[in-house]
Amino acid sequence: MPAPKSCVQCGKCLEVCPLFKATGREELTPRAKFFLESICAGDDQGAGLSERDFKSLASLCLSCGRCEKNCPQHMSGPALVTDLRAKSKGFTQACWDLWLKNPGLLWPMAAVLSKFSPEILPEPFGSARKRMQALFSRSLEPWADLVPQAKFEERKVMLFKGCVGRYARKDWSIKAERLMDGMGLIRGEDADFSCCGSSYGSAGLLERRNNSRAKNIEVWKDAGRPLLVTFCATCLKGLREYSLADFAGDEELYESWQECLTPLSSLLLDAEVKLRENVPEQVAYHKPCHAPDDDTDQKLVGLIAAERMLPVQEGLCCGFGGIMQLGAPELSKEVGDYSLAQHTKCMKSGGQILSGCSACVIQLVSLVKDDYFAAHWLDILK
Amino acid sequence: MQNYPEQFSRTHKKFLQNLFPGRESSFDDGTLLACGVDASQRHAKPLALVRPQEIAQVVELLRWAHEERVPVYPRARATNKVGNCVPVRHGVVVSMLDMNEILDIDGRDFVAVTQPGVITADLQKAVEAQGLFYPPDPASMKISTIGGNISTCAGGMRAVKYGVTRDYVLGLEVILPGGEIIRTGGRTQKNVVGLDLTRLMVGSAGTLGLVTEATVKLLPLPETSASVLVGFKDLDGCLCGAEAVFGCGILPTAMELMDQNTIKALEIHSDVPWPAGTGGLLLLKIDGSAESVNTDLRRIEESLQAVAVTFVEKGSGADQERLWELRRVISPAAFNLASDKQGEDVAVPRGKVAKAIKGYHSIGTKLGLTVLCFGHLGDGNIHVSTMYNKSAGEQEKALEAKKKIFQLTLELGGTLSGEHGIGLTKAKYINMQLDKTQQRLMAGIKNAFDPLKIMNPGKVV
Repeated sequence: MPAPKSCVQCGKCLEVCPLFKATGREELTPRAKFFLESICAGDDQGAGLSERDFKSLASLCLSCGRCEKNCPQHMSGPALVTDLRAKSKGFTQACWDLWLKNPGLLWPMAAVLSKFSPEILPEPFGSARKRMQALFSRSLEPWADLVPQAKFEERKVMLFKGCVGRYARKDWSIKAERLMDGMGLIRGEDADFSCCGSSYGSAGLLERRNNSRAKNIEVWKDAGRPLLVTFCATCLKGLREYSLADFAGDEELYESWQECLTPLSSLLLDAEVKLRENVPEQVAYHKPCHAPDDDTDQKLVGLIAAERMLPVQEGLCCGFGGIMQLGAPELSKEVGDYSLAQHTKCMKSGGQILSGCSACVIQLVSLVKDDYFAAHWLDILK
Repeated sequence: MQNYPEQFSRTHKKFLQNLFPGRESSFDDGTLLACGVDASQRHAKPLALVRPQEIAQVVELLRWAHEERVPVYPRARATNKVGNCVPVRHGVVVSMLDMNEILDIDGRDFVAVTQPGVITADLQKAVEAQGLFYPPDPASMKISTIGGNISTCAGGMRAVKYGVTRDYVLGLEVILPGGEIIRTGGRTQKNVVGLDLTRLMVGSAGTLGLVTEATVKLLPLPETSASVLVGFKDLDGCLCGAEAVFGCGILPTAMELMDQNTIKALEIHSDVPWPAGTGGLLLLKIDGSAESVNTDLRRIEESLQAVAVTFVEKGSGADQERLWELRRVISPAAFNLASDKQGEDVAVPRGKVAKAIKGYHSIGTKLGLTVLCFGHLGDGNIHVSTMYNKSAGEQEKALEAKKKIFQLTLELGGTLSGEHGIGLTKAKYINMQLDKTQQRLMAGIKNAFDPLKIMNPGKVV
């Protein structure tokens, strides 16, 4: 990506910003963030805008990265927000930090807390509680079997479970490992990977992000550089964003890392699909903001759902947005509701919305109306 | 200069909060600053932002604003380049973005009725789904609204064949200062009763009233289209090529020109399909039935045989987009030549284009600045970008170039602006084009609509 220049207020980001799409609020657009930043830094000392007000407004970003792709000047909203958050760690950052630092403690705790009433919980945990409660309450009956083709990969493989797969939805990890075994892959010993680092990054916790990266690289090297298999689009993006500097400038190691990152779905595109009787009439694919260009999750869901698959709608964000969940839960919900309304516009009751990103799934499951289901594509597999 | 309130009293604020409850009004610094800037990059801070959901709110707002002498600044996506959305006298910014419904698409009357906040490209998609066509296509069509397009009389690349926004607006619902509602025009394609207030409103940049609904004319959707990119050794060759195409009796949908400096900027910015040494480009689009498009393509190729070309590439269907993408990235690509840009969108009579472009280049050469000419050759609307480095103290020279470019344009019988308007950024040049009598008549019209000057004050149309 060429170097960013400066925002010329052309408004091309308005076309793609999911926060603006759902709310219609111009002050939340990347264009507004860059403008406010420029006048805060300029001669007129922010023209009456306090630094605190600027930061709280500017940090309302879902970090989807669409603006950067659409910007003729290569400006990135998420980069601005990461930078701002890195420079000021307020309440929400601290909460998110706590959450991510101790995921082992917090995910199950949130599940337990979900039994209590929301009133006794502080807001970040209150919304987490609701999310957890939703996540575990209404699960979907599997309706497809995948018989994967044997893969004659001589290298070891390891599953990168991600925070959700490790602590909240262990069943996803178990299914993923079973599929890997079904392909005859040589699976390495379960190892102690850290967070992919992506959420730390967007929360502005750059030191913690770098520590996570270092830890993961260490574990991967110790295991003999296995293929790293993921089932979460955000983890995949987070892992792919490791820079040459994270490998102390070792280009060979860096290339090897990039080449090892493998979405689970990419290994399953030649699998045999068997459908059960309870197959739903309609399936929608929610394309995560962080989906790679070659979105093999979408291909796999298309393969399984075949004629049941509704046309994929581009540009819908679930609204999870990492830190937005904690800092502005009502905005996050507004964006998620908008996205679900679009998904279910032409969907009959009982339709299923599938995705391949843990965060999207959590968000969609917690917001979806009772007539529909939202799930990870792993959920539909026996 | 008229006095407008510098601050709102508690009663003012309360009134607005009652009329626009909850999130429909904002008074915080961040929101106010963010709605006070547009693509001109000029900015000012209003006293309030309101987001009407229905006409009754706009009526009441304009009644109140008239009574209290509060400036009203209509706003949609703020993509205009001349500062028309900047609230230089503070007052209230009225965001029309929530009034964003297409109310009717009628294939028998060939009209659509729409609220102002609808994105132009969305309106186009909606009518195209019914085999209909709304032709005006400003470069911003994916991000700008029909209300903004009407307010600025937006043009576009298809103007050569199909005309501009004004040619498609049949009727308007407008709220006047004081709160009166007028309905101009209607659903008929012809109408000669009274003075043409509809056409007067289009392009008036929100200085006469606030548009709340528009009835636009539709055409049958052309079956197909095709594009041709033709390279020439130099500008003369390019202009001969354009003559040849017009000479063969075809009116292209779009005909865009890129001069040597534009080509240079693009070559630095993107992978380009033309060979080195290309000094001028023509990008053409034709549309119609599959048969007629084929015939026209053949005729264009035949007509170009008499002219020396360096390169020809054709595209049809979705494949055309890669050719048009090169046209769309000119603006950002221009910054590869210098750090600052001063852009004009002058228009000259079609027959004077060659003379104009050569004159603009020579103005640049004399001042030691790079001048890029590109744009709508087909309708004489040329984008002239003077590239300069502010940090090297070249701003004065750029301003001199601007004045000279305007002078030459007017000498050739042209106009200072074909699409963008005058607004704030070109206000001081208006006397170059409009004489005192014309300005007096226009001031009289403004006075008839808005005697207290509350609509978009501080702007020149």
